[in-house]
Amino acid sequence: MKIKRHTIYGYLFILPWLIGFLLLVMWPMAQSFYYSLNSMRITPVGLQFRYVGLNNYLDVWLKDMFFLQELLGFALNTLLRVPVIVVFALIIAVLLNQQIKFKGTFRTIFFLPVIVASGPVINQLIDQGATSIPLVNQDIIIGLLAQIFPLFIASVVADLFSQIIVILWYSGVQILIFLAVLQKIDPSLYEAAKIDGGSSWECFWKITLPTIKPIVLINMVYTLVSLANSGQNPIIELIYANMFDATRGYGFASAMAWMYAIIIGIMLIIMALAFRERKTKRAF
Amino acid sequence: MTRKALGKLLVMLFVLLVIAVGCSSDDTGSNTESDNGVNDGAESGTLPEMTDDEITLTYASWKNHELNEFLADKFMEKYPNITVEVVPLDTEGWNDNLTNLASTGELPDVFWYNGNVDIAIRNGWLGDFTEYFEADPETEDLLDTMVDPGYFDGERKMAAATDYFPYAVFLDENLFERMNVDMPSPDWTYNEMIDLIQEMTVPEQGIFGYNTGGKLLTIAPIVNQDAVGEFGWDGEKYDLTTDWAEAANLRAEFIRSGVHAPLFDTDEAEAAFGDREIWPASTGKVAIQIDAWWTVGAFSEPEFTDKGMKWVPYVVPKGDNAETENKPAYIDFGTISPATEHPREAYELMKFFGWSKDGWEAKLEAFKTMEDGNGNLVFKHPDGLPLIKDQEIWDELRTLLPDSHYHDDFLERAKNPVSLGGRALPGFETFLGEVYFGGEYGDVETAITNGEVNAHDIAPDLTEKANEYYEAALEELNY
Repeated sequence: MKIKRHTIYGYLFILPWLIGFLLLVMWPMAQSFYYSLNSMRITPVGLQFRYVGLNNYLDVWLKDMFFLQELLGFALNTLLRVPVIVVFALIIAVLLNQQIKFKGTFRTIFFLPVIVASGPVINQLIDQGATSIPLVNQDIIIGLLAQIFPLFIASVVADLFSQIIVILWYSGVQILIFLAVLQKIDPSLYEAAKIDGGSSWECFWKITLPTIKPIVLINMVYTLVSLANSGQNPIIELIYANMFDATRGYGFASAMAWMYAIIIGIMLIIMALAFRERKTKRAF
Repeated sequence: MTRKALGKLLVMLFVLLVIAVGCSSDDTGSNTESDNGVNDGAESGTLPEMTDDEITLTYASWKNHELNEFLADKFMEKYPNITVEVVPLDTEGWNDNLTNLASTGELPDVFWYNGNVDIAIRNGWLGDFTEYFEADPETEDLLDTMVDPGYFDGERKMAAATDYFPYAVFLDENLFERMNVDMPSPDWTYNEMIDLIQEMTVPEQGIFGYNTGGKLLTIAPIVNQDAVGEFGWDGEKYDLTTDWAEAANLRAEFIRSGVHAPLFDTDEAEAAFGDREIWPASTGKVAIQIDAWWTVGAFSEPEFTDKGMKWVPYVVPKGDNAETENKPAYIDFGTISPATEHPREAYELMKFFGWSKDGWEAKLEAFKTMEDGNGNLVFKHPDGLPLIKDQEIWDELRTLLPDSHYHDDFLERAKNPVSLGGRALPGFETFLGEVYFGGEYGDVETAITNGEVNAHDIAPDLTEKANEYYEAALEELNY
C-alpha cells in the first residue's frame, strides 16, 4: 500500500501531539488503571503491589461514605451551573457580536478571568468572599428555598447564588467559542428574514439558535469537563485525600478516579443524546 | 482509517500500556519482618562503633529550619566524617511530601512522621532499630513513659519520641484574685479541677469556667485510669466505657450549660464577646484554659498582660485515685528509613536531634544564642521540653523561663508524658477518620454535645471498633 506524501505530512504535524498524548495522557491513564486493580504501598525501596481485582472499585461504593454524597452534590451542581454558564456565555457573546465601540476591550475583559483567576488565585478569591455578591443574603435564600425543597437541594441552589461571580468567570472560553460561530452565520439569512418582517427576537430563535445548536453542545461539554476537573470540585479533593490516606492509598484513589471518569462519561453521553441532531422527517 | 478502527487501535494501545505498566512496576514483593531491619552489625547488648568513612545522612523534621541546621552543624562537629543534609519540606501536607519522596526512593535517612503512624506503617517506612535502642546506655536516661512508645508490636522498636510539649492548664491568676478564689495546689487532682471549673463559672458576670484546646475526654482516661494512651489505652487495648464516656458527657453538659466558653464562630460567642471568632482566652472572661506548653510564651505577650490577664501554667491534674503521674502530651515521633545505608549512624542522628544529652546541650545553646536578622532571639521561650531525666538539662532549661514558682512546679511534675493516640498507636488515626469523626454517629463528640447520643451507650461499640482497628493496623505492620 502506497502512503501518500500529504498523509505523511499530516502525521508528522500531529506527531508532537501524539507523543505528548502517549506520554502524558495514555501512560498515566494506564498506570492509574493498573494501580486501581492493586493494593499499593509506597515503600522506601520501591512501589509494592498486591493484586486485589475489582475490590477497590467495590470499596469506593461500599466503604467511602463521602463519594456518593459528593457525587450527588456534583450532579446537582452541574445540573444548575452548566445551563447558567452556557446561557450567560451566549448572552454575552451575542452582545459582544454587536457593532459597539471598544468591542476588543470588552472581549478581553470577559476572557481575562480565564487567565488570571486560576488555581491558587481563585482559591484566595473564594476564601476572601470576593466571588459572592455581598448584598445577596445567603441565610435568607437558604431559608426561603428550604421551605420548598429538601435542605440538600436548597443549599446547592443557595450555593449557586453565593458563588455566582466565580461561576460566571468560568464562561470566558465559552463566550469565545460562541463569538466565533456567531461571526460565521451568513448575514444574508438575517437580511432575508428582516425583509420578510422578522423581528430580532424571531431572528434569534429561528436563525441564530438553530445554527449554533451544535456549538451549544460543545460548550456544555466543555463546561461540564471544566467543572469536573476544577480544583474547587470536592470530588477531586476527595481523590487527593484518599491518595495519601493511610488505609486507602493510590490504588483506592485510582479506582475512585476511574469511577468518577466513567460517571462523567455517562453524563456526557446523556448530554450528547439530548442535544444530538435529529434527522428531520420530510413530508412527501 | 475509519472511526471504528481508530477506536480499536486506542483500546489495544491502552491494554498494551496497562500490561507494560504492570511489567515495569517496581514490585519488590512482600515486606517481611526482616525487610525493616536496620540492625546489621549490631550485636546484642553492644552498640556498634560508628563508621569512620565519609558518609552523608539526610534528615527531615518540621522543627525550625535554622534550629535544624544549627543542630546538624553541632552533629557534624562531633562526627566530622558525617555530612548531614537537612531536607527542607513544606510543613503543610508533611506526610504527603514524605510519600512523594518515598515514591522516588528519596525518603530521608531520619525523618519525623506527622500525627498519623498508620501512613508510615502501611508504607513500610519504619526501620527496626531495636538492638541499637536497647544496647544504648542513653536509653536509661529517657523519661520512663517514653521508652515503650514505638514498640508497636511489642517487640520491635520502630519509632522514637523526638519532641515533647505537655498539655498545660493555664489559670488566670488575676481573675482568681478578683473572684476571691484560692489558686489550687500544684498537686491538684482531676476532681478538684472539675470543681474549680464550676466554681469559677459566674454567668451573671459573663465569666466562663474554662475553655479548651485540650479536651476533658482526652485527659480523664489518662489521669484517672493510669492509661498510657488516649481512649483508655492500657498498652494492649482501649476502654472507652468508663472515664472517656464520663468525661465526654461532662464536656457536653459543660458546653450546653455555659460552663465551657462558647465555641468558635457561634452565635453564643458573638453574644458573649461581641466577636464570634475571638479566642475566648484573650477576652479576660475565662478562668481556665486547657492548652499546651507552646502557649506559655504567647500568654506573656502584651496582648494578654495589657488586658489585665495573668495566665499561669499548671500541669494536668492527677487522677484522684491514680497510681501514676501520667499526663497527656504532644509527642512527635521520628524513625529511621529501612532503606538507609547507614542505620547505626542514622540512629545516632535521630537520637542527637531528639533525646541525647549532647543534642539537648546543643539545643539549649541554640535557644540562648540564635538570633534573627534584627538581632532578636529566635526563641523567646525554649521550644519544647527534654525527653530525658538528666537534671542538669532540666535545670539549664529552667533558667530560660520566667522566674515564677508556677514554672518550677510545672517542670517538676512534667516528667510522665503520655503521647496522644495517632502518633503512637497503630490504627488510632484511621479509627478517628472512619468511625469517631465520620462513622455511623457522625462526629461522635458533636453528637454527644447535641444530646443525640449518650456517651455511655455508644462507648462499648466504640471500644470494640477501636480495638479492631488496632488489630488491623498490626496486620499491616507485618504485611
